[in-house]
Amino acid sequence: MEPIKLIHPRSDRYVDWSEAYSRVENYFCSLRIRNKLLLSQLVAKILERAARRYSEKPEHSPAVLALREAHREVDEWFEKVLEAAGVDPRNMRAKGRLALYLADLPRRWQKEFLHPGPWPEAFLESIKKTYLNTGPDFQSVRMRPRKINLGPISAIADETWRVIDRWPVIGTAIVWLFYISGIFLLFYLTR
Amino acid sequence: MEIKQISRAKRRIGFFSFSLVLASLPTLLFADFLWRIGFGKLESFLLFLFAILACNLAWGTTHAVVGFWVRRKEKPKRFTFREAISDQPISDSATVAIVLPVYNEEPARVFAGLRAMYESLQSTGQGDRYDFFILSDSTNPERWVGEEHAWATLCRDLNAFGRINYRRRLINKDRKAGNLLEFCESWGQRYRYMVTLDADSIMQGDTLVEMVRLMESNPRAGIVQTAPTIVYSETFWGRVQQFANRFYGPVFQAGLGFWQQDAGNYWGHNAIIRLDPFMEFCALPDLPGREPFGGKILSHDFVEAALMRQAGYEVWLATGLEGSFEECPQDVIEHAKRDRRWCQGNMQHVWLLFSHGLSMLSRIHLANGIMGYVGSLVWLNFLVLGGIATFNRVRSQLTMLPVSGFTNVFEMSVQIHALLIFCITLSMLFVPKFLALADSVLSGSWRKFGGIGSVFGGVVLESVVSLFTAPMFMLYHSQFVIFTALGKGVAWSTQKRGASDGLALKDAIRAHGTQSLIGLGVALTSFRVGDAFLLWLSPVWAPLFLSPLISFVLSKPSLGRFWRSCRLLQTPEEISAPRLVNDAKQFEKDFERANWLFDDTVSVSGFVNAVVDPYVNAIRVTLAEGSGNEASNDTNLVERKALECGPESLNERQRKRLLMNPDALLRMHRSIWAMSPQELHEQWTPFIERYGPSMKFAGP
Repeated sequence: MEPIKLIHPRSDRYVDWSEAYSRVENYFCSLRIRNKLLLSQLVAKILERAARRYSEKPEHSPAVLALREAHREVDEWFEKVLEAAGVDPRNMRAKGRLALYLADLPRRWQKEFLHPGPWPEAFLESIKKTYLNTGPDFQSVRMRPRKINLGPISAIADETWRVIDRWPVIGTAIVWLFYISGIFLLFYLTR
Repeated sequence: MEIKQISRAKRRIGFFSFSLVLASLPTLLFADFLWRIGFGKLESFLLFLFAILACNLAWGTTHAVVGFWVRRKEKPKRFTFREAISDQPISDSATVAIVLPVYNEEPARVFAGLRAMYESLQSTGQGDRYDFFILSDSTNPERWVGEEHAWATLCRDLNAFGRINYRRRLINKDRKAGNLLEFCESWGQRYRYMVTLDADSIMQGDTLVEMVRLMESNPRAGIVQTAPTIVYSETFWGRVQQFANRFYGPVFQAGLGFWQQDAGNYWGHNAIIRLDPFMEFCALPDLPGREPFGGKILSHDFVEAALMRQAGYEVWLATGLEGSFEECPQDVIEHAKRDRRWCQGNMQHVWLLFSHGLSMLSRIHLANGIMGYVGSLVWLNFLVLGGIATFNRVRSQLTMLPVSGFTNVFEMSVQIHALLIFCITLSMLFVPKFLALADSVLSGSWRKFGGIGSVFGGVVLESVVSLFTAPMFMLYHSQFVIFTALGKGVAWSTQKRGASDGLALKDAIRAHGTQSLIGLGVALTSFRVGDAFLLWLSPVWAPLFLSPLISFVLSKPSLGRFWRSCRLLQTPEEISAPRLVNDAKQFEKDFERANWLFDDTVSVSGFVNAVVDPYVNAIRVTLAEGSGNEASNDTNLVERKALECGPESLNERQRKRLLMNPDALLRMHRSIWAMSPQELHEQWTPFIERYGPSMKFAGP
């Protein structure tokens, strides 16, 4: 069967293709492609390719094939654009998407998305930024605290604290002593 | 003689002497009163506690009195240590890092403020000397994914990569102090100055420039602290705090500046610091013992100021320097939570009070911070002992036969004598308010507050609220002091700054239930002692008994708006907001649009966004690649679980692990979009379907 007939309304898997359409459309929308005409053109192009694949591999669902085609199309386009912009497209990973974000695609370059080129110089210039520098280079130095002589009162308190840490029962006894003293004081003061 | 000619020693001697004289007057009268009615062991305790409270009270009153006098004698704009510096050029080598430590804060608020500051600085023409650093300690993945996204967007929109920097620590060693220390150790040497901000603070560009100019004009200045103005308050409580800060603040700050001069304090934010001495002398040692009382120093600011002074550098309060803003807690419970953290930090300073090498004025600052909380415990004890003394007297059924005291000269009855002490104490409480009012009338600043009726009404309303909430905070602070002493620490938490709809009544009852019961107990006991005593103690027990209701009412933004419509509790920034304040608010409103985010009614987790959204995913992957996390078999299992069982099947640790693994994130992003709808777990479906031509998208 001709690929285009697969996505015809009278075809058996029309519902599946309809689902594939939504998936691809959602994917392009997630890249903030908002222009409806552009969106429908791009989705139709992807579905056509996916239909061709489907005729070769009918065991896969149309949605899966369509998304694979969309990813392939976008990746290939990223590679070409980055290369044209003078950025090494090897080991691309998330570079392309980051470049689109930093170039402000939805507001400035929507019409260039998946365009086969050539692309305007300004677009290529803005696409060059494919990394995020979180801060300037380190100039490491160590801040060493100076010892503070806390004086005799704090030294005694420190020693008491250590004793309480070593024998927690003493700490509990002190708390109880305070409590009992408070009760005793209350009794004494109300006489 | 002009004030500026008075030497520092004379200022301090004069100030402290005045304060002591002021404290001694009611103390002497109280001693005589106790003598007349019969001085025993209990009364000696009472007198001791009263003397402490009187000193505490007189300390505040003296600030207002001296501040009022200073403001009559000096131009309001003149402050700190140099005059006529505004036309001095700033050296190109005076580079400044503006650091903004954040901990699980709302990114919209933080980045909106930052954007407003950046633009304000650029408008001064001096922006090039300033670099911004967002120092994130956020542990909540929802927050740090949002922070990264907002940072990338902001840098893109302002073309500010390299000027606005973002660093997140994987391990939050030593909390905020550790965060700043790590900044200094990594980048401190690149800059001459550091401006420290809080997540809720903003500063005007010209103020930031003026601060650098102040530092440049005095090489001995180590820290210049500004006095931040509270803004953006919406609730009744928030607006009361905002009004009090703005209306009483200038008089108190003038008093504070008068005596402390070059021996000021550092409040942790909205200040500029000379980095070289800071890095050399102000690294914080650990205190003896363990947290909460010992261990890592929590309230690092006071100690850093003390160490700066010890190293021979000056610390100034820039009174009169405007354009420095912050926010405040919007209800009593949030306020108490903040106080608990501060209390614990201040209580640690007890260790340092008697340490060698600190100046006396640094010790006074530390002691003042401690007394801010211990004073409440003293007041509580005074009330308890006073109650016991009265109970003893009533129970003895003896007729009171007053002996003579020195007040006999005035032929006062015991009742009049008691009333006089009460009135003097009360006047010490209200004199600062009266002086602020007088200052406003004399300086004409009342116009900026909406008119004379507005300021008078505002002072009355604020005083009423203070009277109603004072017993609550007395109990809160006493509890915090005791808990800290008993070793019960407080967790590091994010301050809730927004007003929302205020407290629910059941939350207020839960938070204040014990206080309410204590109030009821005090009322019943006082009733047993006598009607007069019940009435006498009513300013204490009644607010306590009603504390849930008071707290509930004070938390309401609708009441805040009501008082505003009545032109009460207004501040100049509310009536005519500075551009920076307006801009920050506007940028916060536009945050979703600027970041291409959905206008979700239910918030979508940062983890889901980092997996599904192609751009958020790209940002996270790129940053995770920089931090060099490797994949492991364990991560693969978690990844599969996320896809097959949905995002909700993961705990926070598992989400974090995936977010920090760039390979896993990349694979998941592809899989989510490419998996057949039948295979993908249904929890993911809505997050894919929300993208589409009909999406409720806030972006452009």
